[in-house]
Amino acid sequence: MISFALSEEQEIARAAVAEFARAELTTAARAADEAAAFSASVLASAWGLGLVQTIAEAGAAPLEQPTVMNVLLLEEFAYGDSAVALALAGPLGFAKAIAEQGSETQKREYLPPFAGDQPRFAAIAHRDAGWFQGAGQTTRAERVAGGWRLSGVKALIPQAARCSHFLATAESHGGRAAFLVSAGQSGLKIAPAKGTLGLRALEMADVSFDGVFVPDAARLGESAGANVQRIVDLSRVALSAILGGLARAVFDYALPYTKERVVHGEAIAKKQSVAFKLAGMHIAVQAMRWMVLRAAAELDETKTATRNARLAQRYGADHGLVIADEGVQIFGGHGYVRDLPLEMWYRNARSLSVLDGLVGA
Amino acid sequence: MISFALTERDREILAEAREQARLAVKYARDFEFDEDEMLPHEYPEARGRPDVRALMDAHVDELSGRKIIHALLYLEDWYGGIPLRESRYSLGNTVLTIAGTPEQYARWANKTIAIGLTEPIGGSDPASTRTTATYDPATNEWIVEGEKVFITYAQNCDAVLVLARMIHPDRPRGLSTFMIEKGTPGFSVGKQIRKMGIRFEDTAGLSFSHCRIPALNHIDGDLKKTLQSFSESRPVVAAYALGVSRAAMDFTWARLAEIGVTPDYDAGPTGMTAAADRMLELEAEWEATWLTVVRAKWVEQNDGPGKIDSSVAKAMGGGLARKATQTCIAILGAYGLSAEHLAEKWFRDARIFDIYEGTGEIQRLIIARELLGYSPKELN
Repeated sequence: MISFALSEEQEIARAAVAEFARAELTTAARAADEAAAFSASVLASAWGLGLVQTIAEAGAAPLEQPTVMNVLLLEEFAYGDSAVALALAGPLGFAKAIAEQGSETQKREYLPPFAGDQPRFAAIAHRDAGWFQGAGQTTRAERVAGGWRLSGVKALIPQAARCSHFLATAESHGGRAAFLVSAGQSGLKIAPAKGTLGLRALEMADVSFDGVFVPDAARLGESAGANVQRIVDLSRVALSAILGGLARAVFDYALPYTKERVVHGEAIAKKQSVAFKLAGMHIAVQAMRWMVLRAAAELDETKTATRNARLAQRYGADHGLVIADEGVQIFGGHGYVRDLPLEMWYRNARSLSVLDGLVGA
Repeated sequence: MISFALTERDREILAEAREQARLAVKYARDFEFDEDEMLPHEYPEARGRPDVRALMDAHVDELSGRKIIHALLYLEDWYGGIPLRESRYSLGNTVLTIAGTPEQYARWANKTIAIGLTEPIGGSDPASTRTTATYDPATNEWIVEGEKVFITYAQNCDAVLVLARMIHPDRPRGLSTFMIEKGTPGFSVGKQIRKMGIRFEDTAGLSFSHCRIPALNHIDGDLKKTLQSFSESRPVVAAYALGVSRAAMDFTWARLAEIGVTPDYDAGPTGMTAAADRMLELEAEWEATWLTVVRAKWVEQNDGPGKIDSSVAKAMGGGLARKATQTCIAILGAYGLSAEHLAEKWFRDARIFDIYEGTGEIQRLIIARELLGYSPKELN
């Protein structure tokens, strides 16, 4: 039964995060981008809203549509700062994968630290390094006595140096598996960050697994294994929700400016070339949201939503970038300077639209 | 609870409609060379098969919503390229429902009523309407004078609801609508217009020369009420666009499959062939459009026609139809040009969806005015 109506619980939670994002994140975002590091207090207060803890404490159980709830909240965090949203979505994806697909032992071992008051970081290490995804680069897990040996390099992991764990996906004897790897394990290396185009506060870095030994007990789902596709689908929905929040922030920022900015005697909003940009932005912001919510709702109903998650990602990637681009254009020279957020949103949108994996919802 | 899943009954009715669309495909070119021919009420293949619109009305309680399914049935009609059964849905009926008195409704509800809005001097600006309706107090009649162009159902309708400027001794010179039945002296229908595509659609001009109609035929809807009917129909046009685009995309995927290119939704943002990448973009646009159509109809069902959601759907549909049919031919190459296949027909048909019932530009004006809080005077 088609319905676009959010539940009261979803509306309340969303409003709370929206208020926080506007009050705390929008101003802090620029400073974090300049410093290429988050302020610890901002991350701590974002963490305090309980996005990750809710999943880590009780799994998805108490919520009617946990994925829908998570994407709604990620979109609101991203409205304030998409880098903060990604910082939270890493441990969120990690905790949710364990809550949904981990063995009972794994839930007991890995989840409690993520239910605490202090921020904890982790990431979904899915996308292999290298510019073209293809043969010869795939991370592999080889069967050895008592466990597995992981070899490969994963690209641009957010907060890599602060992550206590990685959930690494790998090809394994014709199938795919996911492994819980702690940061201190021998053979695991984090390449020093050289800086990135956008999302700079995340200090993204490549993580390499050079024959890292993973015991049987650390394979997600243990002997039963895990549905890796679900983890991939959830990551794409999370990334799309974050891009959607960013796009909406650009639109909301640009709209009032076009009514104030007077050129040739009238507000630029009264010129079709600008008004049509705003209409186009609105159309895409709406469609992005429906695409994300549909894939999320599907992931709450069934194991995978591969097509809809991928298409949400594709639509968001294409249009999120256009929106951020037009945001810069509407502000002209002001869009290009670092006093305003437009240029940062443009860099962040370009970054988000090519990422894959990393996070979850 | 938010959900994008169709009900079992929705799926059953839409599946039957898809089946009928597949049966209709063989007639898709029937009107290519004889545009004066009118669409039959039904093709032989329709016999013995349920009328999907009757099925919909018989099971309203089991649907995601009648308005949603009503729109999606048009997607299926256009997937086949031509309706297996004529639906005779017309905008004039919508205006009658919105603006007619009970007496007027009872009189014309069972008729097919075209809407006469566009004039030779322009379609996107109804405020510039030149057709007049002059009140004659001596006979309590109205006298209509004027000309309309690009009128769908011109030949096959029973009556046309005409937008005209009122000339009445006691009323301001506003726009209003007048029901003019076929056979009214002074009312004539022009030749079928020769179009690039959608040749099965009955399209012609109308002229009114000293056309006298009784006072009852004045449907006292103002321009706003008339335009409200577009809020209901625009997402339906976007559904047409979904149908034609889907047909073109399915055809192109089938050809690509022959050379081993198939959709891979697991593959990440890089690492696929150019053809698959372009198709993936179309798939994303198609789904986004589907969602905006369903969204507009869901809003209409709950809160009445929503201007902005309706224009969003229409703008999406118009854009999709152009892009999808253009891209499919780009992928198919010269093969796509041949009248052996339907790709070239879809390309021609689809181009109208970003034009009729308000161009993409008009939709963007409507959306922008709503967003900015501007009147048509402030933003045009």
